[in-house]
Amino acid sequence: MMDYFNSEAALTHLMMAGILSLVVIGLYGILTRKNLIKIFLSLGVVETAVNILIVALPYRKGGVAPILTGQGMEGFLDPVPQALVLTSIVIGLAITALGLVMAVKFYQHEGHLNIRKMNGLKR
Amino acid sequence: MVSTIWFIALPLGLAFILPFRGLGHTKRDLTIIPLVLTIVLGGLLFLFRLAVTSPVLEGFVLDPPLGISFRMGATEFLFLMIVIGSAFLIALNIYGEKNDIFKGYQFPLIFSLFLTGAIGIILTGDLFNLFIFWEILSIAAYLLTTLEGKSRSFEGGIKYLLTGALSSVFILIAVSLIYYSAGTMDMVELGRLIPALPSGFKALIFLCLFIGFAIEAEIFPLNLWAPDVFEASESRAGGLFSSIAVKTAAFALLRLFFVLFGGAEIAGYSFFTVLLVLALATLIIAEFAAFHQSNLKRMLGYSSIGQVALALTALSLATESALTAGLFHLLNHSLIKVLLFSLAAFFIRKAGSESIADFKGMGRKFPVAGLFFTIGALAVAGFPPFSPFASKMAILKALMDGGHFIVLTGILVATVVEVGYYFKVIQVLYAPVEKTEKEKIKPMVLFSWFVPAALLTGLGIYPSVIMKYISLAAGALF
Repeated sequence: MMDYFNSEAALTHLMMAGILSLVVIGLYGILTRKNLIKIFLSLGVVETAVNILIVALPYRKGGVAPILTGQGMEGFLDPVPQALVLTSIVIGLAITALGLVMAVKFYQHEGHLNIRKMNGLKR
Repeated sequence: MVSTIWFIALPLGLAFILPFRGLGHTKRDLTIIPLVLTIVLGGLLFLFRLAVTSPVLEGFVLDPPLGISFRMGATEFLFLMIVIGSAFLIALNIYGEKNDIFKGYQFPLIFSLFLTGAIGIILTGDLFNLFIFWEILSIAAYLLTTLEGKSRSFEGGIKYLLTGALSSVFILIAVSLIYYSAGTMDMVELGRLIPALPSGFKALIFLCLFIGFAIEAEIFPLNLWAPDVFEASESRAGGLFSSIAVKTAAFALLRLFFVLFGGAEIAGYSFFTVLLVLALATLIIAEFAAFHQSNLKRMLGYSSIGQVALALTALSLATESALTAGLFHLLNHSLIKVLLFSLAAFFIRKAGSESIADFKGMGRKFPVAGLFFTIGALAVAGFPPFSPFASKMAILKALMDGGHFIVLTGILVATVVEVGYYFKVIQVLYAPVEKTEKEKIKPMVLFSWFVPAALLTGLGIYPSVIMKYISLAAGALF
């Protein structure tokens, strides 16, 4: 039992469980909340889960950040996922900001943020 | 120096320049900028016409499979032609007949970002790059939806944004899993590596990418956002979605099916069967839903969903003749929707209403516009001599050859429904009404209607003019 907690597999399983639960929490929020702000927050949770997935998946035990410090490149992790995650964080920020702006504009027109009452368009 | 990078650099650079002071902070009419941009891009595309027979592959900084590369072969050329051509016609129409929402720097900026995204998705050979261009296209599309600034535009925009954000989450999950397992992002290289992966993992990656792309390609049951967005946005913005955004999503699906998962199977089930069933369901549901619409834009939106699903049905057969028919139908559908959405903008402006019932007698008051709408409606319903007749016949023939008689029946039923609702609109347009004095239509607008209508007729009579290129494009996918 203690061997398991010490192993690399335990780390991977824990990470996977964490990511999966974050995705589920976020999707639950998107599907059940009524308030637009809360929905965008839930979207942020899902995006965070995916960002963790990108950087955590290629991690190896004992790996170091791929930054040249003059002490050789031993133990360097793959820098590509870390570059990708920066891009995806920025995109997530842009989407959230745009969504919130739209929510504000919608509020100025209608005076509420309830997605259940958004029925100006025919269903 | 002629390089494929200019297709991205020109519209993206323009989008950066536009908000600057002096240009941006005025109420000046800048609707000529999209028009000039599309003409320049069209000229650039002409310089690359030899790419149809000898594909261009350009790597930047590092050569593929390590670095990012742009590829342009016959398929990419065909889709670029569709995108830039439709963008030109819609820009021309907007320049000829502009609402206030198109003046100022906002619309040219969003338009150039939209084109950047669409062209980037088509050209890039790198999966993560595709995701980034996908996001650029989507964000520009959300903004296009809200351009009118009414409460329902924001409602449509928010719905679009939420579904779009979910789609990008799925694409991102797939991208990270693919990079983890294969160690590269180059799509051609991935096409070699993916078949060797364990089948459960392969199915997970496929499902994530398929959900991501299918949301934008308006495939049932992921297309609930689409009718709302078409209704919420200005007609010509709807034309941009229908003739450009959906086509790029269809192209991404082609990349997924033919380049990444070339004919791969999971536990004996071909991925193509999944696409065939979903596309057929989309087609039938969309056409029946369109029949009950009273809003013209919403009806055209449903019709757009149905027509793209019809093309995808053909593409999912994965034989060369079916692919040729499907690609031809995508091209025809772009022409049709450019024509019908710009006419819808005209009628909506004249009638001051979007309800089909309020267009009573518009075809008699404006005989030229009425004639073009009739041409578009007959073309979309598949009447000869227009080119969709040729592409629909080719699709039906491909289905017959493949022995898919149930699918064939479904398509015929959908076509009958489609004829029904387009005739309903034509009937309203030519309802007897008191003669009023005729208004002159601006030559620019007339030209933007004439070109797609002439192409639909011309290609219907002489399909061989373009079939050579389309069959090259279909052949390049194998």
